[in-house]
Amino acid sequence: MAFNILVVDDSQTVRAVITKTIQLAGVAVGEVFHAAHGGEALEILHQHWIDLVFSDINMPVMNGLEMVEHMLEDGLLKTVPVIIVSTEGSQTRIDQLKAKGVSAYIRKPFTPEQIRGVIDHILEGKHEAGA
Amino acid sequence: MKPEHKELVSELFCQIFEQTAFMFGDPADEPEEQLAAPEAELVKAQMDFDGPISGHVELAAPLALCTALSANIQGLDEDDPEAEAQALDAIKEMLNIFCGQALTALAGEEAVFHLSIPELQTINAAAWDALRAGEETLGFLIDDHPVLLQASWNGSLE
Repeated sequence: MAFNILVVDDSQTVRAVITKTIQLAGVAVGEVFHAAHGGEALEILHQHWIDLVFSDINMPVMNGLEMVEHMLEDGLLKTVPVIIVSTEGSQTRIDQLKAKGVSAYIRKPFTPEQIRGVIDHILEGKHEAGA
Repeated sequence: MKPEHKELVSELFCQIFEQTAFMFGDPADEPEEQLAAPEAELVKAQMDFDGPISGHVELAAPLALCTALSANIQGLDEDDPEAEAQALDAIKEMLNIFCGQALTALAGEEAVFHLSIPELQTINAAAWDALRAGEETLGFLIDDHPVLLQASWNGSLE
């Protein structure tokens, strides 16, 4: 089973690095979609089946927290796991995000192992659920 | 900036370059010579932050450093067109990462900050020299490239 992944970050460099890491992780990746902010991400989520979202918080137009809130209002999108990848280190903010159902939080700068570990953990759960 | 904050900021700045891009640096110990405006295209990234303390951070560097940064982050050769294409984005992201890490180090893990989106502009030698002369400006050599960092804030970190 191949998984579709959405990477949301206003930095094209970061999107490229996350994408490359995902592809090198040995995960069965179907398609990797990119969005520069939460608004673009929501459009993609409504048009394509997405299994996992990596998202920054601080972005123009619509930030990551706003995007997550919009996803929670949608019966289908609220089930899509979201991993936040951000520079913010506030435990208060991390706790707020997890209370909103964010699956994991990775702080920048991240290592490829962190990305791989989170993917393995979350997609393993999805694979088992679908079995 | 208090001396202990300067030390923390300097250490963290070099650490971020190392962790993010395997680029090694140190504070410039001969600033007059090492931090003179290079004869090269120069850029400055800047952003604001707001929270328990509020302030502004600027990072100036030659474009060549930005291209090297972009290449290293993405695992590309420096002459790869994609490295050059993302050079300006890479330096803005570096400032973003540094700012997030520095604010946690300075204010603690419970503090919540709002960070602006980094902006970038090209600067000339005169602007570089003015930034270098700033009281709160720290100078570094990162992979032998001069880099200037200025961070200032209102409020107390007590």
